[in-house]
Amino acid sequence: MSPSSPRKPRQIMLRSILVTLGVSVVTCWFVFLAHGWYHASLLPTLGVSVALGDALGTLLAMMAALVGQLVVSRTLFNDEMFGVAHMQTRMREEREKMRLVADEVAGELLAVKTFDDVVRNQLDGVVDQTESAAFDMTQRLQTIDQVVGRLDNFVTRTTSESLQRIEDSEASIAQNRAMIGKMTEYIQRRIAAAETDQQRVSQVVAEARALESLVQLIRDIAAQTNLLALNAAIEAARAGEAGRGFAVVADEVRKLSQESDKAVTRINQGIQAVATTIEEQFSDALSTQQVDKERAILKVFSEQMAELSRSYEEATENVKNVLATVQECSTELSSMFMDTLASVQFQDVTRQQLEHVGAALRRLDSHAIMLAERLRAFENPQMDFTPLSEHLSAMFDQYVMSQQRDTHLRTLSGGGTARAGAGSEGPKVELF
Amino acid sequence: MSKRIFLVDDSATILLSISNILTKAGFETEKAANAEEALRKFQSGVKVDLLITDLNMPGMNGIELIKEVRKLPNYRFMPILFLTTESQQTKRAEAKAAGASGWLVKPATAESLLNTIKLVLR
Repeated sequence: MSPSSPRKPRQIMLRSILVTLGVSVVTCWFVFLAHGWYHASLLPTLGVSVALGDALGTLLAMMAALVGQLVVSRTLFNDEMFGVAHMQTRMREEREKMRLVADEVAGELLAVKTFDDVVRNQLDGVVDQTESAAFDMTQRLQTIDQVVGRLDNFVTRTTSESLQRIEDSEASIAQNRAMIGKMTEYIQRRIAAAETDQQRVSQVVAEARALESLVQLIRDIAAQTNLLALNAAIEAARAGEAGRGFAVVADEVRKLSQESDKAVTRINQGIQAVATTIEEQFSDALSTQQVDKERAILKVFSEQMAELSRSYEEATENVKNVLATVQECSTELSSMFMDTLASVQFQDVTRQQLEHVGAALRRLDSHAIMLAERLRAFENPQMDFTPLSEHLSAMFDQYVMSQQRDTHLRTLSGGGTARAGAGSEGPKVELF
Repeated sequence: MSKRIFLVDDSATILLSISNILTKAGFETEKAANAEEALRKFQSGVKVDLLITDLNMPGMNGIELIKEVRKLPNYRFMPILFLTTESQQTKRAEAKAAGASGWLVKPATAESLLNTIKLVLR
């Protein structure tokens, strides 16, 4: 209906009153003017009584007034009914338009289900795809975990073996240390013994050389004996025959002293030869430089052994550190793997949310169908239907997640507080 | 001997991911894709130490399942945990009344899941 519609009936009433009033005035004026002629001339001429004449006159006046109204209304408003006929025609036309629009809208509302079916199928496709992807992801994670598990087992086994080897190596290192200690001790003893030997041999040689003075003493004694024997021979010769025997003894003593001198000389030569041989044989072994050289070599050897032992200890320590780091990483990977597996639950959460969206779309479908029926039966004031607000309440009752309830309430409150429905929610983990 | 845990969920992804977590943590697992299948296994005397079930499943839901399980003599004292997207207190109260031991809201972290399991199995 047009915006002017409420004014139309009043306008028509006003028109009818004004026209009726005008025509009545004209009719009354005509009756007033024709009254004398009508009663004095016309009725007697026609031979009609006064009463019948008044009745006929009234009828004529009323008919004339009615015709006058029709003529005036037709003239002024192009409508014998003061605009009512026009209004009825317009109303019929508008009603027909409304019916056509209602049919069109009802048809569109019925098509909402098809539209929603497409959307729902798309949502179902998303659910299927995410489910398939999440399942595939979980399987891949399982495979990765198996690889990590193998690595972990290998590392654990290797760690165990390596630790055993390190333990064994530590025993070897301890043995090495003890051996190095003993070797150092031996070296020290060996050097000390060499020094002692050097002193002893030098002492022997010196004592052998010292025997030369005794030889000289014996040679001096032999020379004095020889001189005494010579004096004895002289004295024996001076004694004549009496000293003949003494002269023989003196000669023998002189010969003995000469033999003694020769023997002592040979002894001396022998002693000197022995001393020289000792000095020559032990010259390398007894040389101080040689001892120092030997000491230096043994010291270097000892230091190298100690360095080797230290390097080995560092190497085993590094191996321990590497194994500990690998094990630590493996544990961390395991923890990350479990967290990632747990986060796959998002798919189930999303699936349920999308299923609720699908259910909401089905509600919208039935509501649209019902609205279409309501439109097509717009003339029926008794037809009842479930308002959208009730559908919203029913949707709210079917939510399972606090997030869904929060989003619902936030949307209805125009984006206000986010936790409007949080009062009825419990903690994430609860033991009864 | 490792503990055996029964998982019930209509999502194959949840069954796979949670059973992987539990296996990795040293548990053995038994699985069912719906409450009816789980109930059949319970009725046939499956040996498990803990039940972890979803709440909203097609057909019989988790609360209906545990009501039936509690009627079986062997499972009267078995701990039962819910692992569900539902977070409302009214549902928790209903589950508690039906004989549940605890409630975890999805998505639950591996740490919170394993800690809760250890607590109820202690």
